[in-house]
This record gives sequence, structure tokens and C-alpha cells, in this order.
Amino acid sequence: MHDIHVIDPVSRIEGHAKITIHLDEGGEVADARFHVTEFRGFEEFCRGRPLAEMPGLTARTCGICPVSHLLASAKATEAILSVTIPPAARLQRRMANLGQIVQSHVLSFFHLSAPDLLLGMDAGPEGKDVFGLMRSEPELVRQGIGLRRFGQEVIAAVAGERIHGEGIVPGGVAAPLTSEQRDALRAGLDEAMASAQATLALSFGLLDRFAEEVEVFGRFPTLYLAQCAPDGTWEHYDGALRVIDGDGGIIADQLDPARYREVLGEAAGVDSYLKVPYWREAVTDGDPRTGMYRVGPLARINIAERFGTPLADAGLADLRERVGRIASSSFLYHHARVLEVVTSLEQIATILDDPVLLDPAVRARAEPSQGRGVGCSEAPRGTLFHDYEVDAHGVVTGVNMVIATGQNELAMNRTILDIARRYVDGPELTTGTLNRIESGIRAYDPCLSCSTHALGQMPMLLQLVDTDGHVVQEMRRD
Amino acid sequence: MTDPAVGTRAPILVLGVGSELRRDDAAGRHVADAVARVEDPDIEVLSVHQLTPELALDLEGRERVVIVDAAVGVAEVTVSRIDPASNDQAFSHHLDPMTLLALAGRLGTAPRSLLVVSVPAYELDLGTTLSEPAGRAVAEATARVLELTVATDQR
Repeated sequence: MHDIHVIDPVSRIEGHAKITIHLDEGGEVADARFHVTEFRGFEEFCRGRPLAEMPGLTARTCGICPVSHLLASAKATEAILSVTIPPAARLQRRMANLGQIVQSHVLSFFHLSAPDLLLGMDAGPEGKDVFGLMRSEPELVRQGIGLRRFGQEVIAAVAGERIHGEGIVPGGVAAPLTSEQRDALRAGLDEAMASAQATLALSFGLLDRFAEEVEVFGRFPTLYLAQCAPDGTWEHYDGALRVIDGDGGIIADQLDPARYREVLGEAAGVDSYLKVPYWREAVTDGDPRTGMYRVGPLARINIAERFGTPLADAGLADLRERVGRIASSSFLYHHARVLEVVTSLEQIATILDDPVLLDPAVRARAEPSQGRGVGCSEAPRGTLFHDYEVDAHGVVTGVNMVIATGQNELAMNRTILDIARRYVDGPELTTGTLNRIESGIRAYDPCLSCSTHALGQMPMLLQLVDTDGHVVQEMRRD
Repeated sequence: MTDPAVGTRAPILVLGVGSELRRDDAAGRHVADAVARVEDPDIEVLSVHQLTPELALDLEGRERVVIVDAAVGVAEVTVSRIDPASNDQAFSHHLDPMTLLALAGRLGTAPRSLLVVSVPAYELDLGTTLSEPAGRAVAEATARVLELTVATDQR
């Protein structure tokens, strides 16, 4: 009998998904799949809209990382307009993206993953959430909430609102930053940095406690893709693409993101709405899975030679001393996020000290001069591409968006497979096994459809299905 | 760790909630905008897309917090007092008023009282204008909120 375990829905991720685990005739784990069961359709319904609307429209893709979509979208429109945005606008945008990285990573670490990391993988679902965490670690939770608020305030200063602001527009930003806004952000920096450093120490300490998970959670060689500066410094907004292999060897460097179609293919599956990008050059036998690569915090810290900020670089050196130059375990996504929070705060501090930040010239204006434009930014979860085509009147005729979570799909499948092979033994699943499988997915912080999701003590349905599709065993966790 | 701004905060926080692109869903934010125009130094106004966990820190040190939100299925403007009893429900990036208060309670930032003003919503399709009945309800809700900010016997 060919059996399938189904985990549906997967809780404490940004969106709805399910996991299936396929057993072979002998009861051994044969395959595992992460399915996205939501449909969005932005690439279809954006066609026919005026180009200037695109940042506002596509930002609604996500309630967690709207700034990433605003930035990639605005950059795509500016490629079509052939404009260079003013220096002050560039600084504002960089600061907003750093604020976005802070708030999104903090949400992932404290709200979604800390219950696993601090309450234990084998703990049952009862109380395994932020409230449960608050009973044992109240100050930690408060630090996390305060850090996220700081990130949100940085975003609000630029975008006008914490969520779905409209301040990032084609040609720059909508308004100059005032000295009052700058000073208000400066006032919150010290506390935010203290919280981030405390979190970094906590996260580093967790690597000992979860040594087994570091080994099992997606520790395999893949390619990695991210932006970086020409000298290899970590970059989140203005960089070109670098791709490295599992040993750190550079496969491609300083690749213009506008050429992404030349190097990335996109596969569509029959059992998931997620498009699956792959690195064309690595594909063998026509199987997209052989073109697997990872994006996001883990990819960025593997690709970057350095952060370029002292505190984060010290933390990166500590990590590399422990795991080597390449951090290959997906469990280390968590620690990579915390390192990125630290460098983001350091870089925000630098931007706030730059007098250009308050320059009143913040927007360039132009008419469409090219038929196609690609924008790229590093979203918290990885490299994000927006690719637009317009007609002579500036009406959008084609849209392609390549989302970070899709780029990690192949690696997520492999991660689930590795965890299942280690912890699943026949048709019986334990709470600890379920927790680890979900946690393996959560390490990637997948963001499927933030604007429509619910979360809480969501029921988890586990089904054992035979080859005829009959449910022969069912477990439900309410 | 205490927020250094707590000591200088206005005693009353009015928190308008809703999407400005979903017509009447923005009723709470229209009320917040109207209250802000009064420029009362004892009232701070925040207008937000949704309730988020970090707002628990903005509740600290308040005498009263009034959350104003659109509601379907109600015929008139209603005022509800939120019980500080535990409501420990899991959340990620947004939550409801009860969970926000519970979170604030756990963090030690709960206000002395928290009220929710529900504004009837009739049209929730795409758009930036209020329906006519929702517009009337916003005017009434604004008056009720201003009463609540001065009626200490109801605090």
C-alpha cells in the first residue's frame, strides 16, 4: 500500500498550505511535498491598469512585506520611465526596506518560531504561542514587540503608514522626511539595538540546544541567490545578483536583475499554486528540481563576504567560526534573520546621520520611454522580481512577479523530506514529529498570502490515504 | 523595560481601524480623523489599517482607550466595554481588541479601561467613499467618542 500523510493546514506560517508525506510499499518515507492552496492572480488582474498604479496595487500582495513589493514595483516602473530617483528618495527607500526587514524578521522569530525554539519541539499545541511564551519569557516578548514597532515606525516615516502606505511612488518617494521624523526614529534606536543584540545572543545560544535540528532541518548543498554589492558586501536594495554553489564557489556575479529570465526558469506544478523558479544552468534531465536554489536570509549571509557594519559582522564571524563559511542548514535561517536585524539597525543609524536624507527633492517625473522594465529588491524572505510590460500609453500589458517563497519551494520540499525520513517511522506520527515538520517549513518563513490568512490554534488534520484515495487513518488536532 | 514616552502620553487614546480602500470598512478611521480635528491635548489619535501586536505598547499609561471599528450586522452605533479577562489566543501580525487587551495585560501595559465603538457598515466593496448611512453613523460615532473622552463616570 502506498500511504500519504497529510498535514493541513500548516499553522504559524503566513498563509495556508498543506504538507503531504508519501510512504512507499515498505512504509518508508518516499517523498514529501509542500502545497500552496491559495490563488492570488495579481499577474492577471494588473493587466490593463496604468503603470503609475502598479506599486499601490502590487503592494497588496502581502500585509507583512508590502514595502518589498512597493520597492520592486517602483523600480520596475522607473526602468520603463528611464528615470534615476533623487538621492534623498534613495536613502528613504533604503531605510524603509531596512525597517521592513526588521519588523518582518522579528515577527518571524518572536511570534512564529520562538514558541518552537523556546518552549521545545516536543511541546503540545496548548499554550505554544506568544502567550505561552509570555508566561516564561515576558521580557523577551516585550523586546520583540518593541523591536517590531520600531521597524514599523521606520516604514511609517517613509511610506506614510505601517501597513500599505503610499509614500513609495514611481520616481522616488511622496514627501521629504522632516527633522522631527528623523529625530523620533533616532530616539528609538538605542533601545531597539539593545533588544536586537540580546536576541542575537539568545539565538546563538539556541544553536547548541538544537544541534540535532541544525543537522536535520534542510542541511544539504544547494545553490544560493541574492543581491550583493560589487565588493561582496551584503546589499538589500541596489545590488546586482550573485549566485554561489554549496561550497561557496561563485557561479554568476553582478548579474543585472533585468536578465533574470535568461537564468531562471519557472515551473508550474499540478498540485500547488506556487510557481517554482529554478536555475536553468543546473538543470539535468529536464527536471527542474535539479535547479534548486535558496534565497532569503540564509542565502544572503552565505553570498555576502560581510555585512559592512561592526556588530553584525562580529556576529557573522561567530557563526562562521561555528558552522564554516557556508551555513547549509535551513535551521540557520533563524539566526541569519537575527543577524540581518542587527545590521539593518546599524544601517538605519547611518542613514539617519546622513544630511542628504532631509533633502526636499524626492521625486523625478517622466513619461514611459521603454516597453519593459524589471525591478528587484531583497524582501525579508528573499530576492523579489517585478517585471512589467506597457503599451505606448503606459498601460500595463504584461506582469510577472517572482516571489521569494516560490524560489524556496524546492528546498522546502527537500527539507520536509529530510525531516520526515529522520522522524517518521511508519504510519504513526507523534506530536514532536508534526512539530518538527512544521518547524522545518517555518524556518523559511514562507509568506503565501498574508492579506487573507487567519492564525491561532488551527486544526491540524493528518490523514493516511491508501492508493485508492481512501482515508485509512485520521488524526485531528483542534 | 518601560517605554520612556509613557509618562508624557495623553490619557486617552482613540484608535481608528479599517481599510481605506473598502468604503465603510474605513468608518473607524473617519471617526478618528474627526476626533483628531478637535485637537484636544488629552486625546491622542491613531488611525491604522488593522490592530497589530505592537499597538499593545501604545496602550501603556492610558486612562482610557477607545477603539473605533466598522461592524456589519449592527443597526446602530454601539459601545462595548472589553473585559480584561484573559483571552490568550494565538496571533501573528494582526489581532482583535480582546486579544490586544489580553496581550497588553500580559505585558503590563493595559489601560484602565478599553471601549470598542462599533460603527454600522453597509458597503464594503472597493472604494474610498462612505455609504450614506455609514456617513451618518460616523457623525454619530464621533459624537459618542467625544462624549466618552470626557464622561469620566463611564470610564
